[in-house]
Amino acid sequence: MAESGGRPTIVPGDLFRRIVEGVTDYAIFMLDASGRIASWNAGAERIKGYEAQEVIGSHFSRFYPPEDVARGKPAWELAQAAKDGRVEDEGWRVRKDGTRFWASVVITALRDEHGTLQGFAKVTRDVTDRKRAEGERERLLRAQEAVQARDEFLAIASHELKTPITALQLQVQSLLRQSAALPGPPGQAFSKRLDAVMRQAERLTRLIDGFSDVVRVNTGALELAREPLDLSELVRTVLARWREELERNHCTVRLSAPAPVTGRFDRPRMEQVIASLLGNAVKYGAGKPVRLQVRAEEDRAILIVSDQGIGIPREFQSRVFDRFVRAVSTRHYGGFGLGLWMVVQIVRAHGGSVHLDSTPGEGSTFEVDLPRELDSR
Amino acid sequence: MQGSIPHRQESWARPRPASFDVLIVDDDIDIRETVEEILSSEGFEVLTARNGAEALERLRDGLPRLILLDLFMPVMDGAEFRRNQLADPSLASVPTVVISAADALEHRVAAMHLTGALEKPLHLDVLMETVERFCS
Repeated sequence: MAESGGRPTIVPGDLFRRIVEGVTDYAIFMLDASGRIASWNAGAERIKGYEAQEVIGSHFSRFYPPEDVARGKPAWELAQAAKDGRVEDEGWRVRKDGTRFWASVVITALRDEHGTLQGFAKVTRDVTDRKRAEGERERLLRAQEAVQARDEFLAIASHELKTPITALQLQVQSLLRQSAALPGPPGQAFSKRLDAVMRQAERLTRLIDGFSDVVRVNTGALELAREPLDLSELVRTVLARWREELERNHCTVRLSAPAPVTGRFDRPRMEQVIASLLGNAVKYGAGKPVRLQVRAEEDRAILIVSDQGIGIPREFQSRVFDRFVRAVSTRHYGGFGLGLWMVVQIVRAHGGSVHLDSTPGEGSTFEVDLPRELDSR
Repeated sequence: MQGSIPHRQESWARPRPASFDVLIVDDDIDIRETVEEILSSEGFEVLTARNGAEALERLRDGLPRLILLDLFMPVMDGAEFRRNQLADPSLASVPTVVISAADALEHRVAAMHLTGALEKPLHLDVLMETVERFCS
């Protein structure tokens, strides 16, 4: 075939061979009819890690993981390609160094003009990155679904649990009223035990309220009802309510609240912050005295709760404010691990911050810093 | 006798005097029985209904001084009951307080034009205070 226009002579077969050899994104190689490797390109070398002289003549099943070889997958794929003309597959393949990659594979049967099987063309692409991204997306989606399912469960659980708790509390409170009217020691003993029942009911209520809080924060429904109040006074109120509980735990609290600390805060929510931090200090305070300080610093209110207990390991300090997290074994310390998380939510809603300083074996200090919002009305 | 018909209609349109103290509307039997027991033992006259439709039926026979209303009930929920109640001039003025574990009760009070709302779980003192305010 002479060229008339002076253009270089092109030998199509040769050009095609060079293209195939030069492609690096795809492993393109030939197998003979029995599956032995007959040719190798740059892409195959790059993706699989073998040089041509290492693999030509060996069986292509060496690229498959042992479990696939054991199942007869390489032979099955060739049989499929011979039967249907081609076969497609995605799956793990093994590189020379033993590492695996996720391969997209097409095997095409090659036949001569008489229809006799000559061998196979195999095109393999490394799609590990795509596979990994899909896996990540899938995992993220599942995690989001799990979190959503959990929050929906919490919403239903907290709502449903409140009805029996209401009936229980009302019954106990009504019995308490009646027992107060009973004369003498039997009446007192009865009241004391009903008090104990009531404490447990209240404890259940607090746990359920914890669920409701999670739901509120998640749905953005944590609303503050600010009112002018004295934080020092509020701390004293909470302490008075806790006196019995503190005595039962043989825990002393040293309060330093020398002056009123006025500001605009949500009263029940701030009570919750104080009670959570106090409860935390009692729980992890190893029976040693707990210190409570309240003071004003210009337009800020500072509340400090410190214990001399077991402390928090450094690696946990950044996580203790997360939901459902505690730094200690759940078997030894109960609770849902929601208290400190909620403290942070409430303090943040007030525009403040919580700072933790802790040394394992020496104790923990929580410092709450709140804007007093004295100007806003 | 015929002359009494317009007269009766006129009195139907006006609020009737209360004939008992509290109507408890709640689908939960434990809440109904507990609140009924407590209030009865304090000397209040109490009737109960399992849902909004039953409550409307009870109100045909006589009016309470206070309705304690749950929100989520089968057949007819609290909101629908309240709409029916407000649409009927003879029932509209009966003080109605919701007892619920639902969120954002303050918003519901405004939206449903309620007299008030008590959050579950509620303290006995709070319940008694509320009932005494309307029934003594």
